[in-house]
Amino acid sequence: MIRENKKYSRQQTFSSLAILFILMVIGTGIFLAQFDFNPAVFQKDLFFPPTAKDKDFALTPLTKSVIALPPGLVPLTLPESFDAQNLSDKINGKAELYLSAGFISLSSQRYKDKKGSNLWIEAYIYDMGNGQNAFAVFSAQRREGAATLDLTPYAYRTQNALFLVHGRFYIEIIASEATDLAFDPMKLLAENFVRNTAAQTVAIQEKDLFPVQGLVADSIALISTDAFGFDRLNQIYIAEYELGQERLMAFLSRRQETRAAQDLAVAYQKFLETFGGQTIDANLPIKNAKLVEILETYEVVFFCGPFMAGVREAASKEQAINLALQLYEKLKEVADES
Amino acid sequence: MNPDPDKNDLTRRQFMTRAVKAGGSIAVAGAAGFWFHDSNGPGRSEEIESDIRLPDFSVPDLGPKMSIIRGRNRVETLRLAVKSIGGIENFIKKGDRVLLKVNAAFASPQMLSATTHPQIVSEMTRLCLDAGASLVIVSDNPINDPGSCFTLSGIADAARSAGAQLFLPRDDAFKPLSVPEGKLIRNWPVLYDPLKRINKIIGTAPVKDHHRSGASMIMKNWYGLLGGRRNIFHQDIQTIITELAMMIRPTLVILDGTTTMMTNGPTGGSLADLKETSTMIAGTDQVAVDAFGATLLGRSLNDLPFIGMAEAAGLGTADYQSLNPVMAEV
Repeated sequence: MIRENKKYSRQQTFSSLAILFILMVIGTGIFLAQFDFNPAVFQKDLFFPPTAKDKDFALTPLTKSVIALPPGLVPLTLPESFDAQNLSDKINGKAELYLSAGFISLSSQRYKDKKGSNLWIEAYIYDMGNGQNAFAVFSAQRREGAATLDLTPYAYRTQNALFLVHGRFYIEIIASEATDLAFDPMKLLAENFVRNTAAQTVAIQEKDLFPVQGLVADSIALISTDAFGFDRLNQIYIAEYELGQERLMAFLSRRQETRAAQDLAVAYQKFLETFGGQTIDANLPIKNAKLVEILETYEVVFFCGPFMAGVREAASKEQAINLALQLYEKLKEVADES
Repeated sequence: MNPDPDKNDLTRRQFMTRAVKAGGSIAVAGAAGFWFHDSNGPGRSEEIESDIRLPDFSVPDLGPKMSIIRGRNRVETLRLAVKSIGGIENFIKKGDRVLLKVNAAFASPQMLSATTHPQIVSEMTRLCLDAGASLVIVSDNPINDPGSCFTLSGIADAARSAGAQLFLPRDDAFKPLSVPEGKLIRNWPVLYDPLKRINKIIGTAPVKDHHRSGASMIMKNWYGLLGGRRNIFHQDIQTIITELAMMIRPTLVILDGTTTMMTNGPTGGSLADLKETSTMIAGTDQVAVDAFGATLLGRSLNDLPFIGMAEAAGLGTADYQSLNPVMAEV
């Protein structure tokens, strides 16, 4: 050891000690700093690179646009993309609607009028994973009385916006003005997206299972989760009916098997009873059906083959039973065939 | 370290000794690292509490006041709403420094009513300056990027043209803050920079449906003062709204129900989501003002639990009629 020490000068020894001292100071600093860690300011994006987004519509290199641009529009802002972790950074409290319906990603971008008017347009392209999920968010937000468009089987416009389902995508195109000047480029954007994005046509077979008489146009919707406040009711199709002066709702859900449909019907009936519903003894013309009175309205719950179905918010027993019977007849045809 | 490798006179024994020492050092360092390793990561520090406290911005001895003015012209209804509860001089004195907390959450055009209308921003700024305020700051921490939100909503132009100072949030503007009786807002980053520069705060928001909370009005609008990963509060949104009302005791609040977003809130997106409700509400009791706002949305207090929770916390009354609000029409 003595012989080894002779190889190093005093200066080298001091330098080494100084370096060790600095390293100790840094280490102590890091040790103390970690106690100030606050997850409130932790931004995962600082640490993790953004994940690869959708494969079917890559950015157009020249325009940096999420949709091929029609003449007359130029990008106002760069494209943005969001995943399930940060969707609320874009749409705040509405994120839950999408997340519960199977949301995968959102790409959005704003465009402006090339001629310099005040018009600007924002396009939102939600990848919902499949057509059914896309229909769920489309139908949940459908604006009453809006004009249907023939862009895809599920598309409509309002005074300032355009909404559609294309395959697994739900698209919103929103303008800053409610003018014809705004509508034309919005429609062209939508057409470009549909033309350039391969997607399977969305077929919602359940919509043909609802009785036609009294059905409110475009009222069929899909509730992905927690339908009617019951956490076991998922993938529930609903339809609004107008019978005379009254409005009521029919609902149905195809389950994996008859037993699952039966269990769910029983569970929903019990759920209603838990919240003050009273099951009424009635000789119903529907097999496996129950009539429940709750909050001065009537509900019918039944199962038919793999379908759990019913009627709710009826003002009278007769209306509830009549609509439920029509629904039952339609479901029975399908259940018998399968 | 050896200046001349050719003169290396290291013996086999020395080499073995050094190798064992080096190996031992590595093993000790590795063991120490393993011992210190926390697979769960650092948790939220509850022990280091912020000592920052926000003052009560309300005017002492003024008591709860409220006005409900019907009319479609925002500027006129706003003026009358403020005048009906004693005038702006009741709230803003010469030399006051005012924060006008707007809702600039989204980069959304003003016609969609997802954000505070620019006319409210400009008129409130003018009222404050005319009353002698030495400074009016307009600010919010938007959901989207601040520049786009303030610009595209029209708030930036309205604020600047009326003489207000626009404050866009930046990282160093936030300080951790705790609400003493709160369980969620503990050591949480709050947009403190503008708050430390003012002695009066006026909250102004449109009436909106909100998918998660049921409604977004005055109390929910203080959410825009939070920083960090605030979206986690959506899991307990009724409580966070109540705590926000605990955090800010405003000087005055203005709820704009000229147009109400009835559906698809808080973003909306279509004029079809809106309804002309032609009402402007001003008041000092934010709970009462929100309780009235619920009626514009056609919601009951049961639909909006945060109102009852705020009342139970002693922040105001849900029975707005008990305040005998001044009712008028323009």
